[in-house]
Amino acid sequence: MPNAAKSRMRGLQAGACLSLLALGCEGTLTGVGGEGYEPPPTSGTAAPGDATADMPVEAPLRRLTRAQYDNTVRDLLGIDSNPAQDFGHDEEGGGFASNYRAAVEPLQVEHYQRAAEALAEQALQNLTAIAPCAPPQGTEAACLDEFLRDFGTRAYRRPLTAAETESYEQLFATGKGDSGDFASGLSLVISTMLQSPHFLYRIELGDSTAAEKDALPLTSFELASRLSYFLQNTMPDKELLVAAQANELQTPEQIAEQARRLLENPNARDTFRSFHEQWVEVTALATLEKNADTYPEFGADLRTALQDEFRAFVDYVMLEGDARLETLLTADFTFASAPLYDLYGLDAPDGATADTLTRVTLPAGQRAGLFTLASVMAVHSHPDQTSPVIRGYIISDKLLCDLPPPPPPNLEIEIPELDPNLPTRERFEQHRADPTCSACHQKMDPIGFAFEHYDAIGRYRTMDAGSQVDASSEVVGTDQDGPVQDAVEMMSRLAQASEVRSCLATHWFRYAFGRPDKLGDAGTIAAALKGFAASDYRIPELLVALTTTKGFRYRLPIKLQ
Amino acid sequence: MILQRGSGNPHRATTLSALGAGSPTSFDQVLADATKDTTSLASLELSIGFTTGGGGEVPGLSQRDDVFLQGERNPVAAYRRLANVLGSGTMDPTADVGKFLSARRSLLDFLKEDVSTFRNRLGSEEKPKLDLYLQALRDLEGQLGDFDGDPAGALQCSNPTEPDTSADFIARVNDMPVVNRLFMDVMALSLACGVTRVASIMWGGGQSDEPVRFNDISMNNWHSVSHGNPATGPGEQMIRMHAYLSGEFVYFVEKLKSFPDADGKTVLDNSVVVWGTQCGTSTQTAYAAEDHDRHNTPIIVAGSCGGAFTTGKVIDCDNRNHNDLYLAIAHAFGLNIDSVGPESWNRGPLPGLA
Repeated sequence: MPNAAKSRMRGLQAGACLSLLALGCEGTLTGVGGEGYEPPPTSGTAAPGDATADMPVEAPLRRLTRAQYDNTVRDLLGIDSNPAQDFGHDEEGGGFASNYRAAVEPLQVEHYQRAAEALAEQALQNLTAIAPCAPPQGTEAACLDEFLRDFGTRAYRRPLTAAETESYEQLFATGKGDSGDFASGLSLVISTMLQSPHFLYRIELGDSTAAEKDALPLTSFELASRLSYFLQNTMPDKELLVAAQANELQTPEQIAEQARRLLENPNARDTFRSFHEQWVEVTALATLEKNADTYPEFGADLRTALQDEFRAFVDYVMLEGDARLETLLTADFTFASAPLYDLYGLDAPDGATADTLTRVTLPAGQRAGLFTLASVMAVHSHPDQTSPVIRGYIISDKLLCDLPPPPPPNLEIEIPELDPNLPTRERFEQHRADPTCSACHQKMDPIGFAFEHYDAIGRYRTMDAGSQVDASSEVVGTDQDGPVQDAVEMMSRLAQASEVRSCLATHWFRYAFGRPDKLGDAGTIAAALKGFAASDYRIPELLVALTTTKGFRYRLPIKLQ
Repeated sequence: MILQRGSGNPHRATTLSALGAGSPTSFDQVLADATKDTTSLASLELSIGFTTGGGGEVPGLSQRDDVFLQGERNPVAAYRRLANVLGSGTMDPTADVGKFLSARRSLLDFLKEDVSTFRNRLGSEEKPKLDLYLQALRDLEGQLGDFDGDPAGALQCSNPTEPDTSADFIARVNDMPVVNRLFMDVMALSLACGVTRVASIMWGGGQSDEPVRFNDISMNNWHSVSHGNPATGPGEQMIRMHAYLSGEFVYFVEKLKSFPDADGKTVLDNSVVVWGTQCGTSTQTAYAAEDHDRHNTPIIVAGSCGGAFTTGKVIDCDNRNHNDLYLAIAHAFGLNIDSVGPESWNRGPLPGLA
């Protein structure tokens, strides 16, 4: 099977592995021939903790993601209509929306044009808000000058050059025409700025006057954007732009101070939600459907409640709680709205509604943090039954950074048929007997079995197909190895495992840089991990430490040829 | 016919292979490359609904070098795209069209200048990204008021009617009764008016985990139902769904037939329309027995492709891969190529079409 060897060597996108493994290895080999579809080559995964130095890393040009576009126009124009909902999908890099590799598509450029024209028109409906100096308050020339200085700096995320200012003045004149007013001139200016690559892309050319050997420092304005999009998923705020203007985003201390400020601000919510939703892949929740015969209670109400709960849990742990990794992975509380009390086996208090989220302590010994939330368990299940394979894969990928090799190609899959007398664990045990599959499944499935107390909509169960649920398992390959009775015990071991801490740092690195990690990134990840450890594993300090690395503050010199 | 696919998740693999035919650049794009210099748009991609199948969303059927071309999902946006080419691009009836176009041209000039000021400072790997952005802007500029004829006769070409704004949303499969014919109209007009020669639409996709509840159809999850027993309820739902889709296919074909072409024939006569599914009618007792069986996959072809094909017959494809159908179409199109997709997937152009 030459294709198998080839696929393995070239590696696969993390997302693609999920399907191949989760579905592929559940089936039987039928040996249907045919050329394999070659996935695009991706870089290998670095072994975190390599004893290499923290040094500048690759920084591909990134285009704003849909969420970043929406957040940016919200903060720039005060318009929260989320126009990017109409845009094409974001390209993934390292498991997170990033747009770091592929060129923009022509259709997307048309979307940008339509959105920019509509946003400019909308913004100008309240002219004095966007340009307080507009005539008759001030003269046209002086106000345009002020607008290009203030608004221009925010739109380009750096001051316009003299040449750019002059070009915009000419454009203003064109937009205004012979008979137009101030607003019609401004409309073309705003529309153009919103279609400029300086707005749509995160351009990081570095400060060439301060170039070192193999290291190009980013300018303070470029760092303001890096910090802001990383920590708040939006454009730099006023304080960041002021600091950048004063060139006070250069030393690790200056950057750490700003990073902490941004992380304590409620706007950091956008980053925390975005990271966690993509990390545990609950983005699929919005369109999740379950088999109506097996789970008649699963519908729009429950879906919405689960989405709200996930966000409330992340918001609380990261912004109001202690933000420690251990809390994230072992918390015995969550946030419930009316539809969730029953699902979690709790009595609903009087007056519970679908719109009110209340902090609740979950039944003792049943849950442990993020990965046992009903939403996460429901997403990582089939429509009519649980999936130990998918759940085992998720833990291996997200917490252990230990992806099993992809399965052979030409694998036809068959999810084991439901059997009223055979519990899931026994049905899935069968295919592990197949030597073709056992190589990867003996690693993944036992992890997944620990989650068998949660059915395909995340409800806690003690019985499965007439038998007591057996969720016993074992943690292997970590410094916290040992037998566990269930997912709660498994998570409490994993929360202390150095492999998990290092894996989280790796995922945050991928999020920050919008790409898979490579060998050369190991030093930067290791440096971030040090700061994480020094804070007794508070996640915000992991992020602060990441922003002060040389990897974050510099870029590799630009290869012009 | 076998709807051949590559390895990995069969849902994803079939979506990739439906037009991809095993190649990183899909067959429609091979045709688009051959005709792009003669039309405003090289090709038109539309999609209804979302599809996954592992590895994230598959946003459409078309790919170039392993990168998806996203399909337009909003019918009103699709109309506006057409209007951009056929008319002024403004849908505001009170707008001064001349001024609107001149403003857009100034903007595009500005942006081209804007990019050129820093392009040379970018790394060699980054330059192409900005170059393609610039190219897309130039294409947009080229499209402005581009249309100056009416090759399909006195049609709606110069003034397509924008659909009601109630259709201004991202469409899912369950919205098909509201939106699909709007999409069909956009496709038909694009072909009839010479905006493009290549258009495709994805209905649902290889793993459409969306509910479908309209007419006599009631499915919580189209994909799940497609795995069900063909002899009982699930099979009944699939038959109803395919009956509905057949009606939509007929609508599109009739639409093309209603447009006279320059040579006195109809646009349908000078086109070929291919409709396929990844759910083969296998000998299996349940669709799930082999996950979306690729064997005995029905493919319907309409239009005589300028006289190359004779319509109105059923062809037993003898377990050939769909690559052979595409190869026959390529030849009818005048493309002198020996294979479509991997060579081993081809036996030769599908016989019996002429």
